[in-house]
Amino acid sequence: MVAYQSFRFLKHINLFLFFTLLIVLLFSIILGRYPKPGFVSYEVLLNDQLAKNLILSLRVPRIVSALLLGFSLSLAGLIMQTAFRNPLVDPGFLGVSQGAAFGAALGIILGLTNRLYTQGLAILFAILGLALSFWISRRVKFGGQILRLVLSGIAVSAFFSAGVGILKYLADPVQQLPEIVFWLLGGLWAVKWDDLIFILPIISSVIVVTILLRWRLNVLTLSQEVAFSLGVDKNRETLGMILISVIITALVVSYSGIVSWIGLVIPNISRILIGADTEKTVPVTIMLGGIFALICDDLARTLLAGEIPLSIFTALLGASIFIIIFSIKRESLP
Amino acid sequence: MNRDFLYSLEKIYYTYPGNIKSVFSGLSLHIESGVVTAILGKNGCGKSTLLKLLLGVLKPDSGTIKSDNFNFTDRTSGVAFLPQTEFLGFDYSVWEYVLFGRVPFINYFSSPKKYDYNWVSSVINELGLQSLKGKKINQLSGGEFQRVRIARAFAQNPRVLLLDEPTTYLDLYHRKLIIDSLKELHQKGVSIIFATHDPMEAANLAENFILLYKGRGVIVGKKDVLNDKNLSDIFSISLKTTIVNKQLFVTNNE
Repeated sequence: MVAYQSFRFLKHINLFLFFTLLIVLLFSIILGRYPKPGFVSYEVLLNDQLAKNLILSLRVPRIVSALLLGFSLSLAGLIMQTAFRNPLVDPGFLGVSQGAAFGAALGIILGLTNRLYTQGLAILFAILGLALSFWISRRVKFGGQILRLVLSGIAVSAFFSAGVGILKYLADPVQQLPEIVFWLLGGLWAVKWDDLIFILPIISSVIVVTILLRWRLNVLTLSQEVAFSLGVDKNRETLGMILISVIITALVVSYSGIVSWIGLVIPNISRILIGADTEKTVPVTIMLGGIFALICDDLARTLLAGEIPLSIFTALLGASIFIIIFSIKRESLP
Repeated sequence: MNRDFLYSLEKIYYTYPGNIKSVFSGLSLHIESGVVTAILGKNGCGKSTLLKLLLGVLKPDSGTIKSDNFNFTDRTSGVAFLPQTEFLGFDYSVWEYVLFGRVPFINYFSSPKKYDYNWVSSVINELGLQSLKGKKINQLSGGEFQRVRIARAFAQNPRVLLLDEPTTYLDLYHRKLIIDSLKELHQKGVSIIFATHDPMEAANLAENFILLYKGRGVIVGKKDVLNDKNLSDIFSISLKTTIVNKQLFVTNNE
């Protein structure tokens, strides 16, 4: 009975989120500051060639990139939290975000003009950050497995952010420094269709695969022995899922810079809405993440005449929601 | 002994990585199929380690573990395991948790189907857990969670059930419920092996007994091995056994 009830509710919440996402998407497309701040009217869209070009070649790719960012970071957060059996883990904790930022900054300093190289370096260092976190955690002799990993992640992140500091110090203040600063604040203003050609298919397929694996993801929360008795090679599946989440995080961070809080907050909201079962939380997390990122990016690009870095809104809204949900829903924490 | 051996252990050596002292050095024993076997011993004598070796999640440093009954290397061959305690990172509902028992039957890219839901439904009814179905694991008492964990093992449709101290921390009422469920499962032909440090409970439930001495070997046998001398030896304390109404009672002799 209960299962069927929650099933019906689930259908509704998925539909509700899907339509909300569509509406936010449409609003985002017509929302902008040209020709005047606010929504573009139908007539302008029909008659103004510049407005049309602007929307198709600048705004739409940006919206697509915001969607990908929201989908990926929230999904990566959910996977990480599930894999570490801890609701307070975020891909950034394990040296992934700082690693990616270091890689990108290194690419900029080395004068790699092709964005593909910069993105490649970002991804490489993101994976290196994660690997280092794991490697150090095995050598730490304090606390349980999770605590050691989180502590190592904090240390690795600190190393990389020190590295970014050095690179900033070395950077040419006119050209390179602003570019590096971009990575640290996060934002989508520079995204063009060209940047997405490589990323879009990879992230989309990873998301599709994860959606198919959504029930299976649950097994990562079981203890090693229980998982084993159910025929699950937990180490292999955990590693595989972490790798998936690192890949999408790194890909997104490579074009957006560091965008905080989405990966931490959105999965927690989903769990509060519909419980822990990843069969339900995966689609809800993805859609919520998309909605959240779109709204934050809309604010970032339209609130003032100049761009406001995206991280400011994700942190501001994310942290507020975080405080609210964790103060009203205490019993849902393990 | 005509029955098949569920497990045959030959000269098992096992030491936990990083430890110097070995848990088992040359352990050999047979476990019959289709019966309830109790592993009895004091804390730290290797009961849990033995269960994990039987499960296969730990591999012996040397020696062999074989089975006449099933392919030991096939992990989906139906060995369910209930560790002493279980930490779930997130607050699943009872229904969602029991569904995890269906993992071996559902492939990676799929979700539970109607067949699995029906299976879990009948397991929940069988164990009388209907009232808990919609509850969260966090809201359960220790005894309720233990029964839900047994339901999860039932959902796995196991041929062998390994349990590590299934009734520790439970009151007499919940203890009886658990023991009744295990007896019922045994009636259905499931081989049960459980670890306990309570000889009375072992005697109540099991037919065969494995008495583990800390680092000093093992005694395997029927109820008659639960005598004053053996029990006093394995628990390093003087114990006296009495049988009242076919029930074994153990008292401290000092």
